[in-house]
Amino acid sequence: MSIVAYLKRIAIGAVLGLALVSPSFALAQSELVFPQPVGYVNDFANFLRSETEGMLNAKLEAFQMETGHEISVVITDSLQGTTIEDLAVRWFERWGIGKERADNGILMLIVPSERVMRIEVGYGLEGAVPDSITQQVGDMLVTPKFRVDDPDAGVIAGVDALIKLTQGEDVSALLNPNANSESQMGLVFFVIMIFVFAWIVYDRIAMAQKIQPFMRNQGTRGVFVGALSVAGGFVAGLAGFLHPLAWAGIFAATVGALIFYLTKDAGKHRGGGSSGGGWYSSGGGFGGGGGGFGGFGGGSSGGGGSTSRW
Amino acid sequence: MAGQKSMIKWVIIGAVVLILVGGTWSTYNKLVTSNESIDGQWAQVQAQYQRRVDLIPGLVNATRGFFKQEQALYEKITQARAAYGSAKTPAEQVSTANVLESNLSRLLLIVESNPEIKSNQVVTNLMAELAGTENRISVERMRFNDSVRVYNVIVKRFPSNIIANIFSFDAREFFQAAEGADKAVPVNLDVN
Repeated sequence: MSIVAYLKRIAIGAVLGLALVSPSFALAQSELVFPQPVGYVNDFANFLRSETEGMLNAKLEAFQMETGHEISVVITDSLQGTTIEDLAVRWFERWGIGKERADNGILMLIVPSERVMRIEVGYGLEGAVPDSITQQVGDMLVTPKFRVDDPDAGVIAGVDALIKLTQGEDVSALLNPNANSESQMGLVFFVIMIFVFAWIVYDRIAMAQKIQPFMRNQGTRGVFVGALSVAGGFVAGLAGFLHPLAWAGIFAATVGALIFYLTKDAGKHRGGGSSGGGWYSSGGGFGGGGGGFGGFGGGSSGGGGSTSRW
Repeated sequence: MAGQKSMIKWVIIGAVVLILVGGTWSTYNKLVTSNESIDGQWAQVQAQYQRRVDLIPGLVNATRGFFKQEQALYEKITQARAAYGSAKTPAEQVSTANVLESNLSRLLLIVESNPEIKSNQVVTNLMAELAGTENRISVERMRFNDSVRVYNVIVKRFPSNIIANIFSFDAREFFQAAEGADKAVPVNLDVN
């Protein structure tokens, strides 16, 4: 096994560890239900004709390519027992409409059954699209069409207006991915420490068996894999110190490794078995990700925008 | 094999050291970060308070002529605005902002229910900006409480409470909004 392959294992451990960090930060917000986005236009209430949907999706995709701004239309059946303002800000937050840091997203949330809609503006576009303007867009361009039963014309007019309002706003300076956070540095450092630890373990075993390090010996390799599985559990555990799954990972990995060592004839065992616990428990961090649509960029909003009724 | 016994010892020692050092380190950092984010979130609330205070004179001037019988309310709003301006501590800011909020929501309700003044574009724009600001305040306030909750969970839950205790991180207080102020839209506000 080459050094590259070892490093690859370390990298896998680090990725799994990182996967554990994210859910522990995504605080269980509420019992509201948000489906996965299917595109820029998400008509969960069959409000629009499918041609309109396709046309708007193409237009908003092109607009995003050109300016980076993400405008999303969501049509839903229910307020889920809360206000449209609350639903909009949480929906925006969950999907992360707009780019991270630039926060250049707009959400047009329509609830036909309640005859209410809201235009929620991301932080980065509050200057280009003040509340009084979204109010006018909602009151004068969109809802009048809803009143005369022409939902398609209303949504198209609203989207066109928002495109016009935002296309002059240049956020390119904010789009540089410059997010090398402290915690990531710490994690990298820890991965190195764990690598050193695993290395020492490996070295001692190699010495005990009077063979050269990195010899293609099943026993030493097994021990090395065992040590790495413990290390993987640590990475996962340290990354999300409070995450119960991470503790389960550490526990499983440690027990696995101990069993592995205690069963004496290490040479005949396959060390990989002990890593199972560690990896499996980390797996919970994955999941999500939205179908064919690439998803939004992680922008946020703070309640800017306005509500219109019809 | 003799080497294996000492192996186990080393693995266990290494594991314990890693867990203790790493756990303390990451928990301490988490405490610092979440404590800072509460302060950052409070600054967001303050920014929106200030925005509200800045918008009030415009609305007062644009509507005062229409509601001659509401002079007492206008007086209260002006006073509450001044009181907020002179508030020093966060607690004072919250209580004065809450007084301002309840009086302002009353004015917004009156304006909202008057069709004549609602057709005035200047007033409509001001109303939209103020309604937006009220909503921003409630969003930032909610997020303030969310970040306090995240922090308090770390401070109180085992095993991180041990580390919080060692470095004397105390639980922080939630934001208590004014009665009825948790509603987002002024028209929905309960006016007593």
